[in-house]
Formats: sequence, structure tokens, C-alpha cells
Amino acid sequence: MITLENITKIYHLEEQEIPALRGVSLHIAAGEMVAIVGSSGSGKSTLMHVLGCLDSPNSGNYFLNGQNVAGLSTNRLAEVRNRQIGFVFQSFNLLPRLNALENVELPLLYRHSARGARAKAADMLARLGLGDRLHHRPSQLSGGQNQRVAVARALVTDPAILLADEPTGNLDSATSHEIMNLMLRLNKDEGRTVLVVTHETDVAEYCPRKIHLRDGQVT
Amino acid sequence: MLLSTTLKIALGSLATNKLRTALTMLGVIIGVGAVIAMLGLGNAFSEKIRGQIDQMGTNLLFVRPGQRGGPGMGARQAVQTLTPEDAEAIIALPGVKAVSPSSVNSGQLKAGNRNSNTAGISGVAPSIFAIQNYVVERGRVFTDQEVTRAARVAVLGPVTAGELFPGQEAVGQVVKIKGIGFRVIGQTKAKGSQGRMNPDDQVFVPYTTALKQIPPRRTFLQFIAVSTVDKDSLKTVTEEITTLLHRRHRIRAGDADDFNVENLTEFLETAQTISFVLMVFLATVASISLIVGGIGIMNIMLATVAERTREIGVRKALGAKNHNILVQFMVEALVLTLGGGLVGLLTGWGLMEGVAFGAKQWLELAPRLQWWVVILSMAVATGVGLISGLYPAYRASRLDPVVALRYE
Repeated sequence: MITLENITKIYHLEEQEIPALRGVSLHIAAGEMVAIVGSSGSGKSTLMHVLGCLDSPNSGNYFLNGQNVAGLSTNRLAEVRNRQIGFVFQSFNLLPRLNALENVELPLLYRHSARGARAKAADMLARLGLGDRLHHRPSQLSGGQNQRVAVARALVTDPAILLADEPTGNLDSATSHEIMNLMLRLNKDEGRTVLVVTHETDVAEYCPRKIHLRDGQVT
Repeated sequence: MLLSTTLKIALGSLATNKLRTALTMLGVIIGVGAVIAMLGLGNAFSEKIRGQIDQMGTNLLFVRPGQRGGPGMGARQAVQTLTPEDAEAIIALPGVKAVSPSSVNSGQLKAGNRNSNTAGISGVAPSIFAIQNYVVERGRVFTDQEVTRAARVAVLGPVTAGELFPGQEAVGQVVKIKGIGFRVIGQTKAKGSQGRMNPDDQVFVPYTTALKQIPPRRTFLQFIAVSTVDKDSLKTVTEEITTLLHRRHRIRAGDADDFNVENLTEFLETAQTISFVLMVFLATVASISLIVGGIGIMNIMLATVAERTREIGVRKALGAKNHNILVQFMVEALVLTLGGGLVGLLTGWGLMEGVAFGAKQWLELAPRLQWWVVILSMAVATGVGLISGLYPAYRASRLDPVVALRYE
């Protein structure tokens, strides 16, 4: 499903070159649930951006679902994000003006045909136990509920991978447990490929496989 | 993404900040409103003057006794040197098309038990009807022979006819002018009142009859109306008349004239030019406020983009392409300006009608909302929206999703 070959990423900061990823190679098969762990500054955020097609590497190949996405134009990358990747963020990143249904529907609206978007969104929210919260705005929902809306938004496009960036960072431990169990269930019951980027070891413990990152390299 | 969806997003985000939206629109509202009111009123004023020129007659000169800028009307009438013979001499001048001597009077008209005290009594030659664009709707005008023998025949204006012979045919009846009976032979078509003098409320009689028979009997004229063959002749004919009357009135070089030649067409055309220049000037000033409004919109759009950096990041992460974001913010800017333009259109219309209504007592204006003004103002509003929205929207569309998602 995912193959990285010798990926490097260098940031330029005031004439200084800061290498964030130094030759990362890894393979993740379809249906795996993987934690990407590392302390801050280890390059795991950069790796997450590259894996999520939010950023392009300076060199190396990135095969996602058989397609080399390294070096695609920004608009092509947007398409890949829309079709292949479902994001779950630490701070939910739901649009405050929109209700749950409209938030979940959003990625479908950026497709050529948005037919049936509303029904799909409602269906996905119902599957995640939010069938009675369709018209609530993020400010009217709890942290756990908001993160479940975010998961619904990530899954509504039926993506190849679910990419969660510190998904429990803003949640208390009980809710964290609930969300991680949800991820686990999506992996086990539906066979979804799940990547969890985290610096918390107990969150990483939910994942059968862990990839450790230090100083921009896999250890 | 469908345009209707984009429109919904734009309206939604504008609705969350209603006060800001309203204040931003205000610049465009004032700009468009002022331009529309200015153009409408300026046009109405221009048309008013054009109407007066048409009514007065084209290529027209008035020869009046007395000095220009000298004593007022009362004193002028005391100058008794302008005579029918002067008018006959003017006819012979090259470039002159028609001449009518005019002896103006006022007094009571009577017909049966009805009377009128407002009508002007104009002693004229039949050529006056062509010179001043009077159309004779009923009957006929008097002939040259009737002028020569000072016949007691009269042509009535429609208002006078209506007052003296309500609901009846005036032609063929008898009207008494200051006690002297005249046969009504014709009636003019309504011209519409223009300012102080109502051309529809008068009675035309041969000037010979007016001079010799209607008291006070006189030998001199109030004015001579002269029409020239074309507009270019107005100047040369003015000079010819001046030379001719100098000779006839024996005025030596350096002495003051006892007459003056008025070119009212020129005067009104100058007034029209001034009003046009003034209108363009005011519309320009008004459109500056439109530019200021556009700057305000650009300012707010830049603030909006900065405020919603995170939203842009999220949308991009979910698959929004650069042009999706560009269109989203362009539509928002366009909704602002077009909304402002529409409200401004109504405001300007109201202002235009309001001013025309307020000025009614001393100047009757009939301003109209012209279609080209509507289209122009909407086009300008759209242009302002496009220009002021483009840069902020471009900036938004080029945001790096990684940076935008991190934005607090």
C-alpha cells in the first residue's frame, strides 16, 4: 500500500539547511495499523506531511497504492489527498460555521460530482454513533464527539489510508481510549490501513506495528 | 465544486459577520448611489435645457431695445426706437430665414361671460409660428394680407382657448381683447409650460393690429425674432443686424447702442455644456468613493483570508485545489460588491427622485433611471469586486497547506 524509498526533506531557514528526513525507506501493507513514534524534532511531523501528500519530498520515491506521488503538482496532490487519504487531526480541524453533516460532506464537494454527498455523510455519521447529532455545530459537541465527526469526514471518501496526527492530543484519557478503540475497530473489522502519528507511548501501544523515528531516520 | 455550493459558502461566511459585511458594502453603496443620482439628475437637467431650446426655436436671435446689462425690463420698454421698419430691413439681410416683429401686451380677454387675465397678447407676423416651433392644431394662422390690413383675427394658445371656451371649439368664435372683438381663426398645439412664461397661455394677433388698435397704441416693438438659415449664420447675422441698426438708428462709433441682439440658443447651449461638465465632474468625484469602497473591500478580504488561514488549510487537506479556494474568495468579494451595487442602485434612484421632488418648486426635472446607467454601475461594481478580490483570493489560493494547518 505504501512504499517509501530513500525519502529526504530539507527545510531552509535563513540560509541554513535543516534536514528533516534523511533517507527514510519503509513499507506498509494494506490492512496494517502502524504507529509512527518519535520525540519532537524527530521528523515525524514532516513524515506525516509527506505521507499525507501535504508536502513533497526533495528526493526519493513515494508509492501510494501503486502510484508514485513524489513530485506531483500541487493540484494533482490535492486530488490524491481527496481520493486516497483520510486525515484526523489533533485539534479536529472542523469548520466552526458548519454543522456535523456539512463538515463530513465537505471532501465530497471537492469532487467532480457531489451527487449523494449529503446522504453518504449522514450514513457515515450514523455508523459512528452520531446519527442524532447531524445538525450540531462543533461548538455544541464534546471533544470525543468532534473527533468522531472528524473520523467520519476522513472515512466518507473511502480513502486508502486513514492518517491520524496525534488524534488523542486534545482528549482526556477515557475519550482517548474510545477514539483509539474506534481506530482499532476500523482496522480489524473493515480492514482499513491506519497510520497514527504520536509521541505518546500508550497511544502507540494500540498499534500492532510501530515505526520509530529519530533525527529524520527510521531506527 | 458547484457554483451554487461556492455561493452558499460565501453567503454563509458573510452572514457570520453581518456588521462587517454591511460596513464594507457601504463604500460601494455610496459610490454607486452617488454616480447614479448624479448621472440621472445631470441628464434630466440637460434634457430640460434641450427642451427649452427646441421650444424656443432653433437658430434664433432676439433683437431687443435697450442695452444689454443696462436698465431692467421696465426701463427697456421705455426705449421706443425699435420699429416694424427695422424688422423689414432685417429681412433683406443675407443669412436671415424669417423675421417677426413682436409687440407684447397684457390685459383682459373676454368671451361671453368668461374671461382671462393671465394670457399674454402677442402681436406678431405669421412667420413667428415657424420661428418658434408653434404647431397650429386647429384652423389656420393669419395671412400677410391680414397683417397688411390689420385684420382683427386671433390664434389662441390651448390654455387660453380652454379657459375662454371650455369644452367648445374656439375657432370661429369671437374673443374680446381689451374690449375689441377679434375672430378666432386658429389654435396652437400645447408645448407645455417651461418656467415662468407659459407659451400655451397667449393670444396671437397680427402685429399691425396690435400696434394700431389695441391700447396703448404704439409705434415701437418689444422685440424682433429672427431665425437664420443655419447655426453657423447666427454670428454673422448678429453682426449684420448690429451694423444695419447702427446705420438706421444713426448711432456713431463710441456711442451706446439703443438695442441689443441676444443669441439665446448660444446661451442655452453654453448652459448645457456647463451642466454636462458639472455632471461629469460630480460623477467623477462619486466614482472616487467607489474606488475607496473597492480598497475597503480589498482590505477586508485580506483580513478575512488571514483570519481563515486554518480553514483554507483544512479545505486544502480535504482536497480543495488552488482554483477552488480562489473562486471561493472571488465569489465572496463579488457578492459584497454586487450586493452593494444593487443597494446603491436603489439608493441612487431614491436620491435622484428625492432631489427632483425637492427641487420641483423652482425647477421641474424628470429624471429617469436609464438602462445604460444601471448596466454601467453594475459593471463597475463587478469590476471593483474582481479587482479588489483578486489579490486576496490569489494569496489564499497559494497558501501552503502545511503552513496553513499550523496557523493559530
